[in-house]
Amino acid sequence: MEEWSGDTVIIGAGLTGLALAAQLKDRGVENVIILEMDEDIGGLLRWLKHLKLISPFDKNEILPTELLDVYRSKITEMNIQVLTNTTAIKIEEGPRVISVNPKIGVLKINAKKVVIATGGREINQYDLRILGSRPSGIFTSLTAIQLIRRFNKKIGKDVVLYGNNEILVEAYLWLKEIGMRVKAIVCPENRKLGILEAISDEGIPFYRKKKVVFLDGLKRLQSITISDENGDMEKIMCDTLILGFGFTPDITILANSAGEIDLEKKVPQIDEKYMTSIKNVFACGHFAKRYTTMKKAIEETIAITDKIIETIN
Amino acid sequence: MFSENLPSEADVVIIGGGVIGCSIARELSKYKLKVVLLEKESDVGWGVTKGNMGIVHPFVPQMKMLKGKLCIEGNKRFDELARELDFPFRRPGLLIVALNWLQFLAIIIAYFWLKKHKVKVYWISRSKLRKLEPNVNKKAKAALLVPSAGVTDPVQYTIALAENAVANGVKILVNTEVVGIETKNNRVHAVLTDRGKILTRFVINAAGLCSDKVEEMVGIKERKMWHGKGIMLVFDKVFGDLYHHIMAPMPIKMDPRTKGGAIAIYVHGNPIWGPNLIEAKGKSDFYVSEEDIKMLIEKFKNLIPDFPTDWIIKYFAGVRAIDDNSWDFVIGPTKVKGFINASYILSPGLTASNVIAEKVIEVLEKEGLKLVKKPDYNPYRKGIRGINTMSLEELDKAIKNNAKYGKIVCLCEMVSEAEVIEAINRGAKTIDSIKFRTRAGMGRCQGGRCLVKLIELLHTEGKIELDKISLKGEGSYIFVGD
Repeated sequence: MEEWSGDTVIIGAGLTGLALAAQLKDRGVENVIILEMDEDIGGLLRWLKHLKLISPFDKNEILPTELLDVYRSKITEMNIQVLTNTTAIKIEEGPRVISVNPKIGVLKINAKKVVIATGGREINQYDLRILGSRPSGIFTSLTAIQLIRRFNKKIGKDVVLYGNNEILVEAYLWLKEIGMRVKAIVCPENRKLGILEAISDEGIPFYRKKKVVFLDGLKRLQSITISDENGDMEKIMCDTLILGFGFTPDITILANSAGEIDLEKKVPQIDEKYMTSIKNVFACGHFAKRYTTMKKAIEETIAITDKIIETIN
Repeated sequence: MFSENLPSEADVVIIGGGVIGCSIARELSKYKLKVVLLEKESDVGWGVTKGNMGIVHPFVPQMKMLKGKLCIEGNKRFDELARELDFPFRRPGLLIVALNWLQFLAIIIAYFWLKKHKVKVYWISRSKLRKLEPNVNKKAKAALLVPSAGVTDPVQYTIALAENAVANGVKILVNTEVVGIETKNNRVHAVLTDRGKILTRFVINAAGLCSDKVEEMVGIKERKMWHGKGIMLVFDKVFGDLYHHIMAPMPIKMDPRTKGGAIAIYVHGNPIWGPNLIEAKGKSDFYVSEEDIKMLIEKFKNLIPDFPTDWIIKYFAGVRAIDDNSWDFVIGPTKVKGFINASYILSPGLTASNVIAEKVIEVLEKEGLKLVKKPDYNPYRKGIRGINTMSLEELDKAIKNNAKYGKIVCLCEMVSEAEVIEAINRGAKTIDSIKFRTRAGMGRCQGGRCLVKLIELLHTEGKIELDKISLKGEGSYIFVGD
C-alpha cells in the first residue's frame, strides 16, 4: 500500500477534470494529480468525433479530437501528473483519496483539496421506466458508439433512435458510417435534433412527442411500442433501440464515501462553492449536475473553475 | 465446468439446472454413480431460480403441507451450505409489522401460532421496533421478529451447487434440450435430447417451468400448471441502510394463493421489494408493467414512508411453476418406473432445495437405485472472491499477486478484471453469466459502462468469436447485421 500527498487531487481525466487541472497549473498550484480509471485520458472525448464543442481555453468552437490534442499538449507542457488505470474508490475525511492501480496496488493520497470530475453515467431504460421485457439490443448512445468503434461491427439490423440528446446524433453518424439502417427516430419532445433534421428529410420517419413505453422480445429485441400524450400506441418492429437522453451524475464514489445526495434531483449535494458534504471535496462537470448539452457543461465548468480555484488557493 | 460431449449412458439423468436440479446433482455426487444434468439454457439457474427474490424463509403459513415442512427443515441447512459452498448468505431476520390495530391483533395470534409450531419468535414492542428500525412507519404498533429468516443470491447458490457437483464427478451439459423420454415396459429407458440419446433407468424431472412438458413425455397428464408471475423492484444500494431486516406488513387474509411478499436488503446490499403474484400469460411472460411497479410501491411504502421509491435501478419478473391442484411441491415416484418428480416447486423452493434433494435420493433408493458412498467426496467449493469484500490490505495484496485485481471493470459494483476472467475460466460464456457470477453490470448504471469491457474479455480470454457473443445465449447476440 502506498501513501502519497498532493495539493489537489482531481478524480477523472475527462473534459472537466483536464480543464480544471490546466487552470490550476496556470494559477500556480503546484502539486496537481489527476486519477483516471481508463487506460487513456479524455473520457467522452475519446469516443466523439462529430459533435462540435467549445474549447475551455479560448472558448472557440472545436471538435472532440482536436480538443483532446490540446489537452495532451497541455499535460506535457505544464507537466501535469496523470495516473491512468487508476480508479478512485472512496474518499475519506481529510480528505484522503483511496484508489487502486494495477501496478501500485492500493494508493492513498492525502490532499488539501479533492475535485470529483468523474462525469455522469448514461440514462438507461430503467431510468426512463421503459417497461416490458429485457432483451439484447438496447444500448445507450455512448455504449453503441464504443461498440461500433472498438469492434468495428454492426450492432443491429433495424435501429430505432430514441431520445433528445446530442450524443444520439453522434451515435447516428457512427451507425451511418458502418452502414447500419435507421428505421425510425422517436423524440419525446416537439423538436428536431440538429443534424437529425437532415436525415428526417432523407426519408427516415420521425416521431415527435412520442415516448417508447414497451419492449418486446425475449432474446433479441423484436419490437417497441410508442405512445403519444393521449396514450395512443403504435408498434414499431426493430431489433435495436438506441437511447439518447444524456447523462446523470454517477454518484458511486460519493455513495462509497457516505457523502450527501440530493434525493429529489439525484445529484450530489453541493454548496454555492461547489463543495460536497465532505469537507474540501468539490464536484464539477457531469458529476455535479445534469446538463442538456456538452457546451452548457463546458461553459459552466469554465464559470465555476474560478470559484473552485478561489477556494482551493 | 460444463461438459461438451453427451455421454451415451448414465445411472441418473436430471432434467433442469435450476436450484432444485443442481441441489439434486450435488446430493447424488456423494455416491458412486454416473450422473448427468441437462439444461436447455446456456447456464444454470436461469429459469425459475433467476426470478427469485433470494429470501430464505423461516416458515410458510401452510405448515402441514409438504412445502411447509420442508421449509422449516431447509432453512436450518443454510449456514452449513454457505460454509461448504462459499456463497453469500446472512440472516437479517424477518420483522412482521403491525401497522394498525387489526394487524396488531393478528400478530398476537401469529405469535402464539409460531410458538406452537416451534418457530423461534420474539415480540417486539413499539419502542424496541423503533430502535431496531429507526425509519419504520411511526404508526407501527408492534412487530414479531423471526431471527432465522435469511437472504442469499439464488443464482450464485445454484452455481455453487453446480460447481461442487461437477468437482465430484457430475456431468452438466448446457444448451441441451430434452425432446423426449423413451420407456420400455413402463420403465424409463433413455432420454432423448437435441444432441443425442442417453440410456438411463432413472430420470429426475426438475424442469421447473417445463415440468409439465417433461411429464407429458412419459404420458403423465394429470396436473395442470398455473404460471405465477412475480415482479421485483431493485433500488440503489446507497439506500441499503435505510432498513436492515426483511420486513412485511402482517397479512390479514390467509390464502395459499396469495404471496405476501416483503421488503429486504438483498445479500449484495440493494433494497429489493417484491414479489407480487399474478397469473402469467404463459411460461415466458417476463413482462413488467407500470401497474405492477405501482402496486408494489403502494403495498410496501407504508413500512418505510420516507423510502425514496423513485431510485429504482432495475425491475424484473420471475415466473413460477405451480401445480394448480395442490399448490404444493410435487416430489416422488410416478406411474412410470424410474421417472421421479421434483417439480412444480413454488415458494419456498429455494429454502427447501437441500431437503428436496435429500427426499429425491430417498425416493431413488426406494425405487431400486443402489447408493454407495464415495470415499473421496469433497463438500467444499470456493467462490470467486470479489474485491468489494476485501479490506484495503487484502486488496493491496491481491493486486500484488495479480495486477488484474487493480483494474476495475464495473465501478458501480466494484468488480475487477481478475474476477471477470475467473468467471470466464469457470465457464461463463455470455454477458449474463459473467453478471451473475461477479455482479458486473448489476449496479446503478446497469451495464452501460462495463458492457464493452465484458465483450472484450469474453473475446480475448474466453476465445469466443465476436459474432457469438451474446447477452444470454443463442438468439441474444450483440453484433448482428454484418
